[in-house]
Amino acid sequence: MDSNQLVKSIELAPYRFGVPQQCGVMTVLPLFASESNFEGRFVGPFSGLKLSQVYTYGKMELFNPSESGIAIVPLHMGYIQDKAQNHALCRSAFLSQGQKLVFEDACCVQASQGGYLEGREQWFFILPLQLRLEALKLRGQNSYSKLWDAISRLNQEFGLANRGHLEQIVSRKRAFLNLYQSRFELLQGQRGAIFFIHDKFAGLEIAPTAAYFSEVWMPLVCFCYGVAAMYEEQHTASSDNAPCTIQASNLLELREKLLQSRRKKQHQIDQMVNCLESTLKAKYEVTEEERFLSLRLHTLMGDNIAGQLVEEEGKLVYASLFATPKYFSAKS
Amino acid sequence: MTGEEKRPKTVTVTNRGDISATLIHLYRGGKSIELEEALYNYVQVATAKLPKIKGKIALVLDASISTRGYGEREFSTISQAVALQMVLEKCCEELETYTCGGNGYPPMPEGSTDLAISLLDALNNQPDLVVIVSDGYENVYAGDLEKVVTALPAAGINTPIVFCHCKFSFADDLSLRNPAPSLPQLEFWHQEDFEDVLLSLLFKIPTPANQACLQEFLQEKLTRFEKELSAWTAIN
Repeated sequence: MDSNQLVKSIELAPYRFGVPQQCGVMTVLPLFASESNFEGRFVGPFSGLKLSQVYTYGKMELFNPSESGIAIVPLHMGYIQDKAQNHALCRSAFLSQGQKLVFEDACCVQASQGGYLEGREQWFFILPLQLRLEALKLRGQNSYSKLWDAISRLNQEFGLANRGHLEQIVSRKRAFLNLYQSRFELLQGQRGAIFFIHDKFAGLEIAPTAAYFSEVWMPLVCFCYGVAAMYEEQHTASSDNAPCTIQASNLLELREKLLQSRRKKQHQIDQMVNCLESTLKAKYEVTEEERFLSLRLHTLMGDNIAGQLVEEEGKLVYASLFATPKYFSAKS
Repeated sequence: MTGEEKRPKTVTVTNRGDISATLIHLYRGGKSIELEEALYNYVQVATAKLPKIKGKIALVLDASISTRGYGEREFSTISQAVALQMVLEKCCEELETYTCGGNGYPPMPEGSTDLAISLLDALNNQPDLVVIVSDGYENVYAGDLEKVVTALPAAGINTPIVFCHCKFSFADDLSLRNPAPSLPQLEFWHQEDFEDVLLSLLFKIPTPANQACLQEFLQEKLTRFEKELSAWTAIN
């Protein structure tokens, strides 16, 4: 598949958008698929993936314990584990039912002890947006400490100790970050979401099934995009200072004006989506990473957007695409 | 119950009053006649000691997916909000509920939170008071509730509106959960808080009928207190 065909597969046309949700600086546009051809074929990352072992720094093993269903490892999935070392992955992968897969290019996100891991004590996250491009570029490199510099920089940005301990953010700020799953609401049948921060594209996440998306939703909204939103909320002046009021002389008019203001907001969202669609059509460096029967895992590297996606004969199955720091920090 | 007794060392989903504790089991799928009968009885017992309110009250009940909660606190918010709804159904002369999200009765939380439209729907029926019961997470067109609330006086609507925060425990941080700061705010997390909530609502409709209700409630409470006191003094 050439890159033009691949980019066609990430068109948003087959998806229906839900009503946008906004809280603080973040806006989430829920995505629904008009057809669901993948039901029953895939298992979710929570139910279908277990971290079975960390052999040594940077070398970890995942297991798909399900009796049926392919597991697509969510891009930049990481595990937090009591009394063991926290690791994250730089890439996605396929695991068939019953399969174990050793990742030799995992990155350690906490300098502490390694050890055998008890499944019941683990919880997973997705790397914060600020670390994703660097992590993706480091896929395939066997060096457990490869993300420490980036983590240290991120910690410094948050005013935390300058060291490669990601748990300073995802564990110690967990109570605040967890709130994002209540501040935003996962809807029934939701297959994906587009995340905007300050009305600027931050990420596009599409899952093969609604059940899969429901399992990856919390790690995404809380730890991936939530960390980026938390940073913006802490470090930028609120744009909500100017009071936005409605003037109406009766209840009917008030309702109409409220709906008008919503149409205006919806129009802004439509413009953001149009802008995203043209951004998605930009040039990428495309690399096929892995095959599983007719499934293909690709890496996309562009100036504005990077990430990985899974397609099957041109149909998008899974996508985790995010804004590059260059795009995200550029003034619109 | 004193403030000390109301605050268990560890708050769980089932130590915040019998009504919500029973609802939790129903929400978890424990459909049984025993639970339903118990629920009915717990509501009867609780409401027997609570003030009654005359007038037309509109309840905007947030049953969006965030009220489901997660982990060990799953269903804690919706169960306490529905517990208050059941109490209001018994204690209010006329109660109309406008459920925001949710499905069924008791509503299974689902969907997003659009409190502004639900408030306008409620006001359409010209109630004497609107009570919004919510976890405070407004994410669909965030800020619209406040916009509507501030626009109401100019639109000729002066109906009192009260925002009731449904919390898991007394310690909940509401700083990110206040979608309508200009509204009077009430909070509840335990069934024993319902009395304060109802008294506050009663004061919002200061009709002679409600003054009589208040007097009757206070008189009954005083009588109960005197009986308890005389029994206590007899023992001691």
